[in-house]
Amino acid sequence: MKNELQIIGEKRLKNVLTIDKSNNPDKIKGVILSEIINVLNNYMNVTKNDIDFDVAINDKGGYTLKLFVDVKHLKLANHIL
Amino acid sequence: MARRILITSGKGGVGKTTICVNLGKSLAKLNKKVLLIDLDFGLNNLDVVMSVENKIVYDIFDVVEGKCRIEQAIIEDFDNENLFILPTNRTYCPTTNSKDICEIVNAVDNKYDYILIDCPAGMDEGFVRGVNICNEAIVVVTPHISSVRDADKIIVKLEEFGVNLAGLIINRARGDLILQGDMLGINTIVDYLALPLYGILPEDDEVGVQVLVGGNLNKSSQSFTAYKMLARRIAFGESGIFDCTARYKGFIGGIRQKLRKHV
Repeated sequence: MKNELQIIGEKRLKNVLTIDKSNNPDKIKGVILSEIINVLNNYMNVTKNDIDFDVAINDKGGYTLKLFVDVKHLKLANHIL
Repeated sequence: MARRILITSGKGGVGKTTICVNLGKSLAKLNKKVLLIDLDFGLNNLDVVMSVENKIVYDIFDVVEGKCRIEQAIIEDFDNENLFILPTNRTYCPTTNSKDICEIVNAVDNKYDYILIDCPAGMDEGFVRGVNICNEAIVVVTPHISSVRDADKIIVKLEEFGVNLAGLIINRARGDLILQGDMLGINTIVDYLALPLYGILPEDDEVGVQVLVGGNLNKSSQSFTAYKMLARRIAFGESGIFDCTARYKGFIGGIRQKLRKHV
């Protein structure tokens, strides 16, 4: 059974880890986004402007990725092959 | 080919050097051939904890500079023919590149079962050197917020470098304080760092005595048992992990807790 001190300690730890991670999301966003665009362009025509992408810190101290893509044109199968 | 394990932590003073030595001794007792390498250039202590500080004739830099062969720089443990150390012995941090150190380690790789690399604290050159010569890493942490925080950062760095993260060792765990809730719990640390738990090493005065006088851990000590379990887990994949809270449970355990708290 946790006591009050342990609960306080865990909250502080979570807070510290979350703050540290919050300094990095832009860097992570840039890397992931460029790779996503490369992959998506195999199947559809998209540019950076068509993508709404966000990396947010969740309450477990990890990341939640959200991706919205406005696709105007899907490539036909024979284009892919 | 040796398992080259980087013992790292981010934060200094969590027990990397001590773990390197005692884990090395425990693995050597299991008939594994072990080489310890001190990468903490300028602030080296592996030689002191191994009690070979008066036996160093050549060190890793003498090998890099071509002043001796690597075999001349490697020192055998006085107590165990399976345990060796490649020390560093400079009071400054010489400029060297990872490639030179890599070549040295590659040259002796096939002679050992395990190469344990004592990584310096921090995330700079020394850490990068360690990353370049290891093929897996064990992260050492103590149950304190600052240590867990730094371990979290070092895990991210290791992942960026593509190092295989073998697992986590929680060192200096006080079973009585964990049970009372006055110290971060084991599960909390494991959950936040998201690494498999390799071992728990208890806070033990025996370790301080060992470092003070040199030599081996007392066989009846908790630390000796914990290191033995850790070595067996690494070498044979056994599932046992030392329970630092066991001796503080039950009626006698409750008395031990109270004595520890009030005496």
